[in-house]
Amino acid sequence: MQQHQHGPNCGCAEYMFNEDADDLYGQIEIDKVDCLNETAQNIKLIIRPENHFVQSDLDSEIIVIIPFNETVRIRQINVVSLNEESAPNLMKAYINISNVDFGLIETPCVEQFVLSPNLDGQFGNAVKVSKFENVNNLILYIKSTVNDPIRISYIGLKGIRTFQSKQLANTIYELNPLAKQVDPDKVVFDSLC
Amino acid sequence: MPLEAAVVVLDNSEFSRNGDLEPSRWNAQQEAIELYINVVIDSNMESGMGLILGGGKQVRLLMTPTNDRDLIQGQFHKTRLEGNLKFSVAIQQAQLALKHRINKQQHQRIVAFVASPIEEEVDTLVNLAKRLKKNNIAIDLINFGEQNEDHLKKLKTFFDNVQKGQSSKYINILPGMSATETLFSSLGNNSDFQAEPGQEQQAPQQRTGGQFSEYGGIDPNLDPELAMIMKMSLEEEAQRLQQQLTQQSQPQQQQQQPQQQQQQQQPQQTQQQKEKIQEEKVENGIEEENDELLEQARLLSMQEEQPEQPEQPKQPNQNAQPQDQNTQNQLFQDQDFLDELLDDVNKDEEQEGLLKKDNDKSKKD
Repeated sequence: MQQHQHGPNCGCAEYMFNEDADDLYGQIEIDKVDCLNETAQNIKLIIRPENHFVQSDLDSEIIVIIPFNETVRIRQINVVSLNEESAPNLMKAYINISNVDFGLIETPCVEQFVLSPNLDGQFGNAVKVSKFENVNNLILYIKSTVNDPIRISYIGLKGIRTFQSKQLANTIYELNPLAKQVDPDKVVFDSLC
Repeated sequence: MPLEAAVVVLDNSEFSRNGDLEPSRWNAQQEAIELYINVVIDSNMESGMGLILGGGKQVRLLMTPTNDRDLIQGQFHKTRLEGNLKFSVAIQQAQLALKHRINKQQHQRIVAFVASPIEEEVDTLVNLAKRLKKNNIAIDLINFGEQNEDHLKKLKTFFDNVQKGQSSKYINILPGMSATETLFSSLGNNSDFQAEPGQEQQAPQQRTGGQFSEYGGIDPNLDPELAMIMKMSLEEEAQRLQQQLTQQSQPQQQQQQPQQQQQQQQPQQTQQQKEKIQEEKVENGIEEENDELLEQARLLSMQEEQPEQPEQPKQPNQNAQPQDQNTQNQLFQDQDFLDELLDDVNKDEEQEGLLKKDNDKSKKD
């Protein structure tokens, strides 16, 4: 019997397919996207659906690290494989972990998914909403128990922006405290006195 | 060199007392650390280097990755040679030290000094290697002296499984060789690494030969004109060799090369007042010196300006063939080429003339 696939009309209370979700491509820090155990350095190229793919090197498993430039809420993770012979079938998601290496998979994950080849990219894995609030950093462990190696051509994320980011507030560094009120936007550099 | 955190695993087992590398394997490791400090820290200030003792009763982390070289060098007085090398434990500890490095932007690298036979089985080593490769850790595997066949095979298998692209290196130092020389040549060729002044005392030209071979062994930063001339002479030589490959035998061609280098330096000397400075440069630059020819060159430079062409055929008339001279002569007949050469040289000479005057004035004072 086929496992129940969630979609907009399945009516399951937990897995609500949220129509407000937007593509989070703009919030991904493309330069800092990283992938462990891939053969070539293609991971940055597959965040957009173009003609590239990421192939696993050893043991048909990869870890993809996706940092965001602001806090987001993730609703859906979409993984498209290159073809059926190199499709993964298992994915574990972790959030907000720095210092990622393959020892991570021994720790309990936030959510585990069963993946289908999803060659046309129509099916996105809906996530448990409550667990994916306040995400700054998404880590996906993708593997196949059957195929070796695995090849992935696109990873897409859908969710909601919160417009809150972990950045420095506007700061002025003063050697001596200034008597007058200073508008930070107008200061180019202050004289050293 | 990129931003890197390198953790060095030292082998302080009893095998390091072995004197097959002068003065002992342990001393060779210490000198190698100096080299690595230069490679890692001096090339990029934010890179870090850490130390782990792989031998002894317990594998011990001496230093987490730091960019303070005095701290690193000061750790050596805490070490003692005892026990056996626990290779896989040491590598795993190095991996852990790298995982908890402060600056996550640094690439991870483990430098493993091996001076004793590895106890672990090949399977364990292969698993370890795969784990390192998956986690994107580069390895520099340096074997100090131990030449047992099984041991070398194990190292080779380990290295093959760890290698990702070109980032990892395997260097085998044979007994009797100098560790620093071998390391320097292998590491130097793969990076922009420049030698410390202290190490440059022995045969600097042989060292830099590998790096500046297209300039004939002269550092273009130190002496641009000479480097350019050497480069041109080498290119000329290459062209000439191609043309006359079938006609001449090889030994004669090799002899002609230093002579042609001298010939090309003569046009500079003929129109100068301060020949000695230039001659010294020339002498330092030429690897194979022929004293007789030098004498003739000096005499020539003392003479008044004369057309260079009739003089050159006389010069190395002992060994040279007339055909070689023609291509050289054509080049030197080209007035524009000569003017260019001499312009650069004259400017340099003016500066040196000024410098010399200043020195004389200061001496008088």
